[in-house]
Amino acid sequence: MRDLHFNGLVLIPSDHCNIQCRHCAPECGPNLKRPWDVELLKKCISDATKIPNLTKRIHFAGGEPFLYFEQMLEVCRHAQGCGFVHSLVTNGFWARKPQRASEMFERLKRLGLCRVELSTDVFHQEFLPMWIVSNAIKVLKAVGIPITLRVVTTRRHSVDTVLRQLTPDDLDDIEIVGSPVVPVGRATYAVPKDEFYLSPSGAHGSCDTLLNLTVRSDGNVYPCCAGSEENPSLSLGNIVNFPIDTLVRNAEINLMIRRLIHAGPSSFFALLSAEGLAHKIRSEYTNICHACTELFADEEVVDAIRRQIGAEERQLLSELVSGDDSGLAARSG
Amino acid sequence: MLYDCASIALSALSTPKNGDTPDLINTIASEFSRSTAYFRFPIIDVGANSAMAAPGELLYLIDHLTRAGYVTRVLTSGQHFVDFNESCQQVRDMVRLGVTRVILRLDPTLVLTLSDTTLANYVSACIESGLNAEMRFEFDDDLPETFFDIIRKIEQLRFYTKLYPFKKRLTTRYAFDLSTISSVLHMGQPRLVISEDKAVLLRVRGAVYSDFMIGYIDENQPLSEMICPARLLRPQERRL
Repeated sequence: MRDLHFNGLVLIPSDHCNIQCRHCAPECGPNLKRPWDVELLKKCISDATKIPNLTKRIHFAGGEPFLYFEQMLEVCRHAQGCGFVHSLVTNGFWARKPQRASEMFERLKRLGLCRVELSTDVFHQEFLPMWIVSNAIKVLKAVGIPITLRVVTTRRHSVDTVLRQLTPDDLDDIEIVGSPVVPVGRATYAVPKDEFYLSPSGAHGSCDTLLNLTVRSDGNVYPCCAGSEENPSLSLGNIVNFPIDTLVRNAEINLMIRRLIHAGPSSFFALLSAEGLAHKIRSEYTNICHACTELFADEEVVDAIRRQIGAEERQLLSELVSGDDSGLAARSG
Repeated sequence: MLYDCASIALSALSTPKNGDTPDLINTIASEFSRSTAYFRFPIIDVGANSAMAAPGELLYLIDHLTRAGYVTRVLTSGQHFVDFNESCQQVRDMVRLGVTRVILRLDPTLVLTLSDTTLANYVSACIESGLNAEMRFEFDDDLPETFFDIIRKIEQLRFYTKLYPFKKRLTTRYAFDLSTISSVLHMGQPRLVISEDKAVLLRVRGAVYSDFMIGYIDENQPLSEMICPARLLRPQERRL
């Protein structure tokens, strides 16, 4: 069996954000104030050092992590002591005051900050004008922190429309990642349907090279931060109850998770059709994250998959008892 | 760890003789396998402008570097993705041997020579092998309209875009000087570069590029000895 490999540990300590974007999958916003549980996060990081197949990089997501700067510093200090570097995603609102922002990033850099992902697109711009993002880029370049510009696109708003609003000097030597808005979370009702990119092959593919071990503010752990974390059915367990390294060890033998990761969401389509649930499968998806998030949010779908996987697990156990484990490799990749 | 990562201009190693694999590729691959401990990230970019001009040698080098524990990324002008099936096979072969990224490297002149079909073949080949379509675009002062055009085309083909606009830098090359090299290595982890003229350089990035010469790959001295701490660091700085 191939081990699961995680490209980093994503911490989502709060869904509190200073803005409320129409496309936001976790539906973050100003009313979701929740202080970070710093001690729980520190324990989680210490336990995560025991996970051999985890790249030692922490990524702060949210919510807007700069609403909790002092807590973030404390967690980063602990993470650095445990041998982790860190990155974060932010909307850049702090760049209204560049001098103060520089000081904050100097402190974070000393604690191992290796990259900042700046979110800007048509949705973020409804709250934060581009001059703030331009300021943010200047601050980060002056401090010497690599930048990724994250741009969510729609059929009407392509990535070049955003880039045209920045100067060549702003764009010089930064990474730009354009990705399509996914119809999950707030986007399902706040983004017009004709804005979504959809394709018949959207659900095809798998994510075994794209995993990030993700911890939500309630302590639940998920295999990625691209939609699974919105589905309790895909939780690997809760760090309040068990150390994260134990949860990862358990995930290694979770056949449903393994199949989803190695074979992708479309690998369940035949099973669902056989269970009389073909109507739950769309003809087009934006990507595998869209298919995964939508299917595993549906209780009927999850029940059917669990029933089938349960039967496979019973079969597997009988094979293990008889000393033949070839079926395990064949089924879970 | 002395170096951040490395870049190799494949043309520096390519001196084909009757279709044989050049000896230099064997030698360099073997020398890199002795040098993994010197790198912060065992990542090697194979280029410089289009590594795919010599596909046999490229695959051979990638295979050896992967076996030596390196992650390889390939830079290409994209001109070789003329045929759909061949493009898919080329990318498939590279991925099979360990390549993690195939990046278009364009500039305002090269982008004009890349047809829509060739671009579509590149994007399709990447999709088929599970890679992102990525583009590094080098420009002088202004970003031309062709930059935005090609982004739009990639987005229509893939939905996803990964871009690296990069302003061309003045590059200054400095002759070998042990004291300077030792200071450079003490101050940070430069990129190790094997350039098209076979020079082995330490590249420091800033507003300009500073390339510090440490030798040539076709000299008698093996690469692993040329780049080792005992040669390049003063005794008091060898704890690096």
